Amino acid sequence: MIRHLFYKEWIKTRWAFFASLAIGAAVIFYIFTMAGNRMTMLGAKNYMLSVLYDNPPKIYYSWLQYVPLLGAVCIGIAQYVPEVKNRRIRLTMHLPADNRKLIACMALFGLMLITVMNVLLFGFFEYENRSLFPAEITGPVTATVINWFLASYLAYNYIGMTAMEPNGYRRLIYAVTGLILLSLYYNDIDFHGAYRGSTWFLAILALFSCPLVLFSTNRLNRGDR
Amino acid sequence: MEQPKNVIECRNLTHYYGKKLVYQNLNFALPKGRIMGLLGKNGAGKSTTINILNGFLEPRSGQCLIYGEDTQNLSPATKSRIGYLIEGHIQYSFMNVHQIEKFYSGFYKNWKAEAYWELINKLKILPKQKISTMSCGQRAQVALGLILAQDPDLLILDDFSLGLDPGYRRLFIDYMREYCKAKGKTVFLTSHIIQDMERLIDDVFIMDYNRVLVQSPVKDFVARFKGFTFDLDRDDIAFTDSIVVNSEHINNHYEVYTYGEEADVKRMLDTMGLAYKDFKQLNLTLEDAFIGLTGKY
Repeated sequence: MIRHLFYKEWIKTRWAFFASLAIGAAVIFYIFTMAGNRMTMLGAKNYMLSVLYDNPPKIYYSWLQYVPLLGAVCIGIAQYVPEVKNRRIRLTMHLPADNRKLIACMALFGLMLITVMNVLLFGFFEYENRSLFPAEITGPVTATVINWFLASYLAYNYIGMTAMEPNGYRRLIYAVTGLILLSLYYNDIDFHGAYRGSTWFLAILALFSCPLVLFSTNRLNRGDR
Repeated sequence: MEQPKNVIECRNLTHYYGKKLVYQNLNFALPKGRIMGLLGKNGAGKSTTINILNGFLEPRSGQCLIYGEDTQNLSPATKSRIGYLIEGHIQYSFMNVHQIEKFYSGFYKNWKAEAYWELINKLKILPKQKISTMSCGQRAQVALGLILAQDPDLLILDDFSLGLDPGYRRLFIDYMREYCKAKGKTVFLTSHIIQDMERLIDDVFIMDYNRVLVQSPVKDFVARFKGFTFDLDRDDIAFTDSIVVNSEHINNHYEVYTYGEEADVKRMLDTMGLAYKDFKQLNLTLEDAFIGLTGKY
């Protein structure tokens, strides 16, 4: 059953997944191509000094900021919009299984897909970053970018919760709340290692947002308006 | 375990949308092997009933049972016995003909893929054709094929004729009737096109705002419910006699609908001192009877 449900989710999301992955990989490639070019032009030492000591320091990876978020939004929309359109979710909820389990499986698939995307992009980023920069730079940079990847989970969970909500006003409230919470992950960055102290809090926030879609599903199930 | 006599049983169903009453203490039952058509004007509560039956809506009070289980908590085993056709033949339009069959086959133990492919092959649809690119008629056939493959004991068909041209409607109805009668399936359906229903249903269930008007075998209803036309020399008569269920008039030409006989109507007119001309009994189809019962407005 789960295999077949995942099959449906894969059909919906595969292009969004591949497109997000391709865009993410292209952005990372661009970031490090540019960094490599600067090193060639300015000299590696001078460029790294500007990365470390300029005021504000050179944030060479800022292009990565919204990449995981974009991927999560694309996957979330590709997954939930076809279900909400024409209230097609009724087809899923009519399947011979517990409704909460069905929706939890859908959400689990989305989270798994985002995790695969994040692991690949984060791995690529870390590989390139460590190939070019020393640990004094890569450590704080990792501490910064990891929060952008965490943000993708919160965004995805709020998309699910908002899409499944049957009431228009509540949808608006969820969307606004989601955007406010999301802004915590995107403060202005003017030093490496930004939000290092709050990573745990942001990770827990993302984790706790996972079951939110079930809250809307319960309301949908009851026929709340 | 002993099977309940009625496949569907709704008891004292009451529902409101906010403060707007949809219906109060609605009771009906659908025995095994019968095809019941739910008729009603827009807003009479047809979709509400379908949504409650499918567990998509919790009634304010009362209860609906399918195979003895509350529709709010249907077990997966009971859900697998119910085939559901959504109005407009909505399906997963992002899938193609092959993918959708593969998807559903994983959920039903007794999946009959050959029934699906037999119907698809008749339409000469390619396995890779996406459902979103199909006409409404083709989508209807895909939806029907999926139901045949699921082979459910109970079929709930919500406005099955929506968007279908007359040929496809006839094809759909004839196929469905033959299938259900041959296999003893129970069907609960709604449609806006009542002339189609006459070919398909055994029992009719007519709802109006907040109340049930008719619940009986369709043949009995059509035989008992009568319409008469006549001309009067006045155009301002309102019939209040209890035998008149509904009446309409255009100028001095009147239509009266009743469960009474011709003699009863003539007696009423005589009692009211009205001279009538061209008194005729109408030959009512189910659609005529429905409009006669519920009114044109």
